[in-house]
Amino acid sequence: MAIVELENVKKVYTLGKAEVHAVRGVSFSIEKGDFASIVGPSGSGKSTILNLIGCIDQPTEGVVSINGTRTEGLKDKALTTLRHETLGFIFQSFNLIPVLNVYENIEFPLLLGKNRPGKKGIKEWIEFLVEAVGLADHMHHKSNELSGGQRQRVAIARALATKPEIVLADEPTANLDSKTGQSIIELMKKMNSELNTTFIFSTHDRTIMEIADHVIELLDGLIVEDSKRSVEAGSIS
Amino acid sequence: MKILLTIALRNIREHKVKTTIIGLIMAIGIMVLVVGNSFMDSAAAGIERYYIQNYTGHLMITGQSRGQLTLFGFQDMTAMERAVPRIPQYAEVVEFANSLPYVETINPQVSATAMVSRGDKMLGATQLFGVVPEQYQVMFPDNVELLEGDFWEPGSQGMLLNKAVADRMEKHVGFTFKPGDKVLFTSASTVSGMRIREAEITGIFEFRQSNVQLDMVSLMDISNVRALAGMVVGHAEPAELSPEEQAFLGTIDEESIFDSFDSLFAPTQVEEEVAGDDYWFSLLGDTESRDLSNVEDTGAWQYLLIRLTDEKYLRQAQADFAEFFSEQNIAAQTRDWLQGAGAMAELSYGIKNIFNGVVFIIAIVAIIIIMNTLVISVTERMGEIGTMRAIGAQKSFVRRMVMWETLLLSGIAGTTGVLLGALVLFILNRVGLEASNMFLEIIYGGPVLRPELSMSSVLTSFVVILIVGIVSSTYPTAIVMKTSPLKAMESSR
Repeated sequence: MAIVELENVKKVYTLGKAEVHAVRGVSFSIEKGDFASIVGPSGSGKSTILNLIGCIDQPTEGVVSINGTRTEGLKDKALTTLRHETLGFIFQSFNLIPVLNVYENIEFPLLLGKNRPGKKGIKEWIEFLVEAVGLADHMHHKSNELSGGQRQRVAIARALATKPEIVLADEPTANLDSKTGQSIIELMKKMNSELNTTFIFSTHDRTIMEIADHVIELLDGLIVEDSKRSVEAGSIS
Repeated sequence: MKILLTIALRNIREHKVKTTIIGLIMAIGIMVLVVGNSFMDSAAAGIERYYIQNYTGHLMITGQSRGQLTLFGFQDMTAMERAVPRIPQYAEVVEFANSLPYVETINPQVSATAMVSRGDKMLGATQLFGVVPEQYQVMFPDNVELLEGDFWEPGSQGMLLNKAVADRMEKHVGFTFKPGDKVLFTSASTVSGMRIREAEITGIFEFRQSNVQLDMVSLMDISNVRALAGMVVGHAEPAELSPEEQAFLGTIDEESIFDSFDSLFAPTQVEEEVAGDDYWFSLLGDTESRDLSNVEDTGAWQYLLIRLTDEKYLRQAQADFAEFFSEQNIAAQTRDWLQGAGAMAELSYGIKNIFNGVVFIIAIVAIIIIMNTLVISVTERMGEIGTMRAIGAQKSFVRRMVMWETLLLSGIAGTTGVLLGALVLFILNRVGLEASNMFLEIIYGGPVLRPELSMSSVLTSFVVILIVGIVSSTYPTAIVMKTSPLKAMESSR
């Protein structure tokens, strides 16, 4: 069953008097557990599609369905709940909350919803995530005390904190050097395998794209290729 | 909740410039508010304490009347045109007052204004309180400081001249008043006409706690003040006429009494046989009518001042007296100490209201400045807030976060302001503020003011800061609420 489905989605932005057609009618679906990559050059519509899937933007036309829920017409509160319960976000610029430390940043999404886990459960889960992203020694560091790679690891742990079904990552390696970027993608792949979480990430880096088992290639707001392939877990660990 | 407080506290700590600007505005504003309100409360408490203890008691009973009736008489445009009403059924009123368990003591009083002259020299005006010394001293034991002489003997006549009045007059005439001197007092009103009384100064005094209005007041025996106030047996008050009586009078006009105006100039027929000297002397020698109009109305009082065992009984006393007057059909009423105290006390309260108005304006200015600073602060953090919204924070969460931040900042700044205000007040209390002029004396409620930190001012300050905090955060919160998570995040790039 498709966990993400886009049907003839278009997105038009108004820039002054001009209209920018960022997405010109895109349809695809992503299955649960996919490690999907949306690739393409700058301005191809990668970030726009991720924003539409992430319910932080609405399509001008078409239908976006997340886990079987059509997002058009949903009120802000319902969209926020959907984001909180179903989606996790990893941003290009990490977007950690500067006044919180590593532990608190990862804990933050867990404190937002109504169905919060118990304190003990939260602590054990966060410690597991911190350990998994290799930041056990930096638990009480603030974001400005971490390197770019470390910050992105925190962001990955934060995205996974609520055990979302889908994690969206918009150019997660763009602000990192190639070695760190590779390790971040490998970490995401590891989490994808271990937790069976669907990962959708955008990139223009072809080497990173190779790790994905589902590649959607965009050019000027249109899909030029939508391919699925089998990647052995052993080859990326 | 914990995370909101954590974020709020850390943001306050992290954004030092913003915190300092807003904190300083709030702290200084609160300090001004605390000092100002405590100052005014102290002045008001001073005024209340001084007046109740020294001049008015808690309550005053007067005859029923409209207008601004104070211990100094009517204080409006009608002062010269109407007499201060007497208390009807005075003995019954006194008996009732004495029967109330919370009434500590009572003091009857009469008031008159008179010009003072000696020989053919007019010296100036004084306000006279007609009192019974024994009762007056029981009611106000501490306030009359005798500088020379003493009160007049019980049952006799005399006056205590206020040193402040004496000083003013002495400047004009170049001599010093002393006990034993006799002076003439002349009162005039359209109701009682002109009345002259001679009184002997038995002593010179000053009020220990005084103000510009009380500096005009001298104390005099009740008999003389009654006469100067026109409270005599022959005194006529406007009669309430029945419709029949009015109808009857309606048939009589001035012309029918005095004939026509022309008749004044008509030739007079002089009779040959005129009355002799004996006739005229017999007419002028008959002073019965004049004497009657000067007979003192010994049971007449204008004011009955009442001191209660505790101020908390004030409302109960007013209610009990109102019920008593209503049941007994007595045309009397109660007025509280502030109404009795007159213009000076009311002016002090008026100034407090002006101060509150100024505070209100300051609060609005503070709100605008704080709001602008918060808008900048929130705009700076759009990306952070957008991230929060993207990962699942509802609008209400963000709203509460901004609100908590403002409230915490307000609370910290407010507490700092209160502590600073308390320090300033402590110093002012130790030093004491002397009233260097009449205006300040009115505001202070006396010659020296020692302001104390009042709890009401602290509470008021926190309420004001709470309102300022909530109102100031409304606009920045609205900006955040209108911004989508996407735009918020884009704005941070």
